[in-house]
Amino acid sequence: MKKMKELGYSKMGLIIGGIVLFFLPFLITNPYFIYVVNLILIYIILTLGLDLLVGYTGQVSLGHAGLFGIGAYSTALFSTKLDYSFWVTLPLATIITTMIGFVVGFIGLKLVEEYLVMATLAFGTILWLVFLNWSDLTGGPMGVSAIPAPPTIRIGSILEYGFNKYIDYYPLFVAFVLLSIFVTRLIIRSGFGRACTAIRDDELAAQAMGIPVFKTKVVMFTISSAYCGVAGALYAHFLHVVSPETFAFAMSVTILTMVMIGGQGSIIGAILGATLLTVTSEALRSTPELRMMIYGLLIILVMMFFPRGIMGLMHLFKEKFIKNKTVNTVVNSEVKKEGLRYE
Amino acid sequence: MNNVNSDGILTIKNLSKSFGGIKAVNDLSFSITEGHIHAVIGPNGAGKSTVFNLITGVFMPDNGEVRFKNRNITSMRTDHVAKAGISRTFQNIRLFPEMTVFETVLMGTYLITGGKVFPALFLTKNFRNNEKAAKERVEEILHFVGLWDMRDEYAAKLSYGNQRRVEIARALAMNPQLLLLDEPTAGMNPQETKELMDLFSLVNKQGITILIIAHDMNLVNVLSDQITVINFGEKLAEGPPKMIHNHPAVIEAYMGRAEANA
Amino acid sequence: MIVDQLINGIVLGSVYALMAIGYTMVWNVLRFINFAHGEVYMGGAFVALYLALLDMPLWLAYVGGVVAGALLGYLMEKVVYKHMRTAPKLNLLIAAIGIAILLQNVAQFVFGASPERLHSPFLTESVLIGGVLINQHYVFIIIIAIIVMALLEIFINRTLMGKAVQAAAQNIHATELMGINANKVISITFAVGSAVGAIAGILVGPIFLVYPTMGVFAGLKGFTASVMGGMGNIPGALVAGLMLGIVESFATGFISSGYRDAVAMVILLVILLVRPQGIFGKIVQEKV
Repeated sequence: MKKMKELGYSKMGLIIGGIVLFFLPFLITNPYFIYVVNLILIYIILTLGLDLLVGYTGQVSLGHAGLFGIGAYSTALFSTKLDYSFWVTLPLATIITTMIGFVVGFIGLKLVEEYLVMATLAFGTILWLVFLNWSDLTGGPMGVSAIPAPPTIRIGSILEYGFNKYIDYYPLFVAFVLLSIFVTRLIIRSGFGRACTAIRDDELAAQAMGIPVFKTKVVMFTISSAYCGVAGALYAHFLHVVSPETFAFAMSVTILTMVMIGGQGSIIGAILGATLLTVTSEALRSTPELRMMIYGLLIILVMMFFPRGIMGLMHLFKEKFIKNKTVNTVVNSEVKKEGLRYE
Repeated sequence: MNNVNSDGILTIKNLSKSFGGIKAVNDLSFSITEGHIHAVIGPNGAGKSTVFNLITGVFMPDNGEVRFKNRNITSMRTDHVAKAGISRTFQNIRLFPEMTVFETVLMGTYLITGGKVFPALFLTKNFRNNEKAAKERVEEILHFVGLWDMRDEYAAKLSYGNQRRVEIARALAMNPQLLLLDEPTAGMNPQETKELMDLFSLVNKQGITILIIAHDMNLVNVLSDQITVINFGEKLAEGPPKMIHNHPAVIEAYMGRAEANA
Repeated sequence: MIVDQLINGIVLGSVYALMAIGYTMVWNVLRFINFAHGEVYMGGAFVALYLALLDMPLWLAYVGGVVAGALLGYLMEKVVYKHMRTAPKLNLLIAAIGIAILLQNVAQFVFGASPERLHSPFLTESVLIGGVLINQHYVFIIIIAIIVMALLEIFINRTLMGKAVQAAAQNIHATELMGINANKVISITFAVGSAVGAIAGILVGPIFLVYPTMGVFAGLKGFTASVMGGMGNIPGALVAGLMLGIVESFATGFISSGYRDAVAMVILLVILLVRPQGIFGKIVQEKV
């Protein structure tokens, strides 16, 4: 994705984002808004994780809600049943989610394209049914409640930091978002990340260059699930309650919509998508069906007219108004390997 | 026909493959001498591309054996074949749609960088050295194929001849010992063809053995050391260009038709 | 008990088979999974339900539901899919997911989320067949399913349009040689497949009730059946649908009812991995 880099576009975005993140808590005092901002941060982690798979590797998963759920339930159970601290449950939940993600990926990625989508959907559904029905462990439809906040951080007598109000979680979540962005950047710029992009664009050509296609996809799926594990753990400790309906099919669609709206294969796109959709969704909180109607419509319109999402649009805009010798790529026209049979 | 020189860098023995009852390749054997430019020619639908796909593990042969540097690579996975040192280009150019020339060729360095995740996450010294080596390799190759000035252009936007160059550069980036070129000059104008031919001999002079599928007799006559003629998936004749030129079966099956068309 | 479960299985299976036909027919002409097919099933059932509430004769309400289902499928194709024929397949699939989400929530917005029972003239009666007491509506479902499949057979093998649909399965442009516009064939395929899907929804409406998300699992199971039968294979879809229904019905005897829907999901995964060409299919190697 050289085009963005060349204008220092992405760096600029990140700097602006950093400034916004830093000053946000001083500007917003309403706890509800802080709550929404924290939710956005969690969604950004989820979206970055799915985008690694969808945008950078070309493999679509509709099972990520299930993996998000594994992260949330693991942390919830460790902390309520075994009284483990957040600092233990977070890595534990991430490891468990990553392991389950590996299994799902290892099985599912033997399939391609729409069959992969349906297989991940089947996995997601099975996980959701387990959350819903394994009442002894997961609390059934009621879920797990009274999940404790992360313990107060004490450094001698100089620092004491407790997680009591929404705002207290903000620095923690920002730290994890920054970590996720950093890791994402490292991955996509490495030889491994390039191999993923090659697979996305042309599997056969990628193989011919010595890239082990299946293995690379499974590794990326596993990395992607680690993001779900982290996000799930943060979510559970932030809301203090997890219940199955959060991790149903609609959540997978929501995360995928965030990736698509923002623009696949772009970190800024993932951030924009997560922000835009969370805000819309909170604004329409009282009428959830209206919210989902808008999601549905957005997905259709984006797929029909702007398959590259907001970032694609911005790119198109830039191309039109800022002439640059290298910025003449194909954005919204379709140049993928194969379309439908009917052309 | 089957007394094949097994000292060659690549040896194919009794290779067969059929699709739905139609024999695309039938009991084909030939061997490529290291350092040569070896051409496989034949009319359209003679099974030439299928031979490539059988060598590179895209298809599994029904029968027969492929040996590369005395190692059996029959039915080996495509990426393992690449790892063994065989690189290829495709009949219809397969470039990544949204990458610049530099990025495209960098993709070919996978075998140099290894594509490991943890070193990338921890930015180990080894990882950084590999990345640097890969980029230097790309720079070197782009100079070699004459695309350095176009490194930041989108590969898919280049002229047809230059797109082919990018594809060849990508194939070279992985340091192959054997380069398979599938109809590399199809659809090129005479000027582009000439330039590509020069490039192939340059590549060959670097010590890379080339197996080339072609259509164009002129191209192979000038370029190749050895020619294998196939028709209906079977070997018709084999030998240096001069000999092939006068071979009665070839004239009948291939040249005769070409002359009739001309 | 076993006979009861078998009958339940056959009833369920007939419904899955009808659903599978929609997936398979669309796959045949466009090589794509119409993820929103479950919402056609739901839409047809809802329209029938509301027409019945408007005091329309029940048979007319049912017919109205089927027509509405056909129209819904037709419109999906005309408004969305038609404009995406050169797009990557995954974009189409995601757009189809968008349609499914949209329609589910439109239904919830308009009709509300609470399940309602579609009336059936047969529901309260039972018949004695071979010593087993069977609810008449179950018999009705099986009879209608058989009639629909017979009609479909006649349509596909005995009419020009049906033959064009078959030809389109080989090559969409071949229909032009028969003097039939490819777009028309695609529209007809969507309309017929969706009508069959809507019939399935209307048939189960009196037993499993009508609600906005009723199409989600029905759709997934119909899809499972179409994969089991081999994508594009209509007779295969019928047999596979029945098999799936019977397996699911018997499995419910062994596992808790909450996991009933997981059975189909597990079968789907196993089939996709072990026999992606379907139980009756042959592996076809594609040339690169």
